[in-house]
Formats: sequence, structure tokens, C-alpha cells
Amino acid sequence: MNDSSKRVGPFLALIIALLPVTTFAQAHGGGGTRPPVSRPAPAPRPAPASRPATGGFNFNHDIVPAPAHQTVPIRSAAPRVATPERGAPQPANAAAPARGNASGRTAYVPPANYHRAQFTPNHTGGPYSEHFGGHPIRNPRFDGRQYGWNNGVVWRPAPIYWGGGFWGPFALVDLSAAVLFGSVLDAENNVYYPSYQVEPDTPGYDILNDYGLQQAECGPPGLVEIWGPDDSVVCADPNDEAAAGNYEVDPATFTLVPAT
Amino acid sequence: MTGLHQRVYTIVGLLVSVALLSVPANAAGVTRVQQSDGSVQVYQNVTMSLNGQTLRVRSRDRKGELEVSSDACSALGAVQRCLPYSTVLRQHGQAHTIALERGTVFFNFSGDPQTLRHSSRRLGPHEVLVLLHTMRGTIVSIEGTLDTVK
Repeated sequence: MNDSSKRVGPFLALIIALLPVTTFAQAHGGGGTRPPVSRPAPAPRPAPASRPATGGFNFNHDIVPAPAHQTVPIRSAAPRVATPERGAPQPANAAAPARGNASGRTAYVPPANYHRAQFTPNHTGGPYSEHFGGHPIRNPRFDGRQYGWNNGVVWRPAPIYWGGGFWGPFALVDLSAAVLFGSVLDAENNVYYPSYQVEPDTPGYDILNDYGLQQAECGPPGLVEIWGPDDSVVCADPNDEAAAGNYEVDPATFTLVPAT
Repeated sequence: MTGLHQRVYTIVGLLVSVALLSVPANAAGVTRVQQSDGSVQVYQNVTMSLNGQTLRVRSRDRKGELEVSSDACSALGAVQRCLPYSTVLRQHGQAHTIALERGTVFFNFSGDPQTLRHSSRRLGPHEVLVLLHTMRGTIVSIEGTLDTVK
């Protein structure tokens, strides 16, 4: 062996030693140092479709089109209905939106000849959409700086959730996890807008808190009706900050804009 | 062999070694895909990049890329929570839209570990946690440190 071979040898050995970590691992479909683990379910099920041997991710169940006679399953189970006692004492944390209880009272349900309003992304206010020209009510906790309430991060609705996710992560295709909390009727068009209980740790929960509003079941007259993204609506009992009537949420300034 | 040749061999050897070592060191993400038939695949060492609110997760072999678009981002302390609404799988020269039912994306953009609210789960600095439920019943979890943020 000559002199140059002795000097190059260690580098070649290092390169060869490293090759199995990278190149060889990729031959197993991108699983890194181990090939992806495939564990069959314990219960007898239809045989899992074979993994493509060409690498990348395996989503074979999701990327195969559904047969013509089979549509994507959308669970339409009726959502839970809250039946709160109106006029009940406020909880200790009066600023927090109320949760419903099972008191047995009849919930406000829309008339049978009313249809649910169609989902309209990027539309707000339902039948009042053209009327929100009032002077915004200043948010008691924020100075109106654009998205200052969200650390400056722009808030945009995510279109597969009710209200764009403003009031909670309620998937539109499966609202069974959400608690129905009355509805707002549009008598002119015979449609209704369902309302759901607001989730804690959401912008919707926070804005109710900011104005000291207590969420109430939509339906009876004399409530604050707050229209959020994508024609979502929640209701609250009026207070010193907001009188009964219709309001629109401005997500940028986190304020309520009244209808005129 | 001349001194020049020795230096060239040395530099080439070092560059190749560094290149081979650097990819797995940065790509520490893990993606777990559980399909509705019960099969589970775990993909180690995926790379993750964030561009705006779009997270791209690339498989170790670079043959597959999962693109998760989110919105409705709100701050929960130092953690940002977003709601994913679109997932696209790009591989083998094709793009497949994966119909999404729901999910959650958590980002820790801070330099300190953060504990998620109502959970014992902690996110390390610049770590991301993604949970997805597809319309076909597939459950996807993605976790790891962001490799690039634009």
C-alpha cells in the first residue's frame, strides 16, 4: 500500500461506516434507523392494505377515492342540548360564561318549518350582516391595537370549524361534541342559526369575559346576540357594557360592533 | 502524492462526513399514522418547516411531504394553538388532499419549555405538536422541533 492510500483510507472507512445510517434507512420507506412499525389490530378486522414499497408516508386509506355509492361518512348525530335555568344565580366567577345544566327545562328549538342556515364562509351577521355600522364598544381590557389581544398574531377563521374556531374547536362535520345552546331565527327566510356553548381558552370565551357577559341560551327576546365569524352566533344576558341587541365581533380589535 | 492532493482529499472527506451527519441531527421529528384498520406506521427523523401557518413535514427518505395548513391561531401563554383545516400529501409526483375532520396544532416559539394547559404534556423550545383526525378515521400525530421557520 502506498503513502496516499494510507492517508485516504481512514476517510473512506468513515464514509462507509456512516452510509447505513442514512442511505440504507431510506430503503425502508423513510423510517429512519428503524423501518416504520406496523402493528395489526388485535381484533379481527379487514386486512390492512399493503404499504406502498415506494417510500414516503402511507395514507392509503385517505387518498383512495370513495366508491361512487359511498360518500365520506359525516356523523350527523344530534348535538347535546343544554337546558339552563334562566335567572339562576351567577357562579362565583360571574365574568365566566355559564355552562348549561340538565334541569329538565325545554330548550328553545326552532319551528319545524325552519331550515338550518347554510354555512357561508367569510360571512358574518346572518340576516343583520349589512347593519353593523354602530360605534364599536371599547373592549375594557384592550386598547384596540390590531390583534393586540392575540400577541399581534392575526386571527383568521379555520373553515372546517363552527365559527371558524372562534368559540371552540367544533368540527362542522361532527357537532355532536358541542352543546347546542338555542338558536337565532330569521323569520324572513325561515332559517335558523344554531348556537353552541363556548369553550374555555378560546377567543370567544375571552371576549365574553372581557365585557363581563354571561352566555345565555339563544331564543328568548331581550338578549345580546353576538355574531362571530362564518355566521356563528352566541347570546348573552345584557349588562352595563352591552345592551340587548345584535353585535358583530371585530377580531382585529377584539371589540363588539352594534347593529344600527 | 503532493501536498495539494492531500489537502483536497482531507477537505472532501470532511465535507462528506459533515453532510452525512448533519441530516439526521436536525431532523428529529416523529410522525405516527394510525389508520382506521388499526395499522400503525411510525416515521422517525422527519423534517419540519413552518412557512406562515403552513407546516410541512417531510419523510426521512424525502419522498413524501405532508402539508398542514392551519388558522384560528390564538395565544395560550407562550404556546400558540391553531386549528388545522387542510392537509395535502405530496409524493411520487402527485398531490392528494386528505379530508380533515378536526385537529389541533401547538407551537412553542419560545426558548423555554412550556406545559400545555390542562395537560401534563410539555413542549420543548421551538417544538411543535400536531394531532389530526381525518374523515377516513386516520389519526396522525406529529411532534418534534422545527427545523426551519419562515
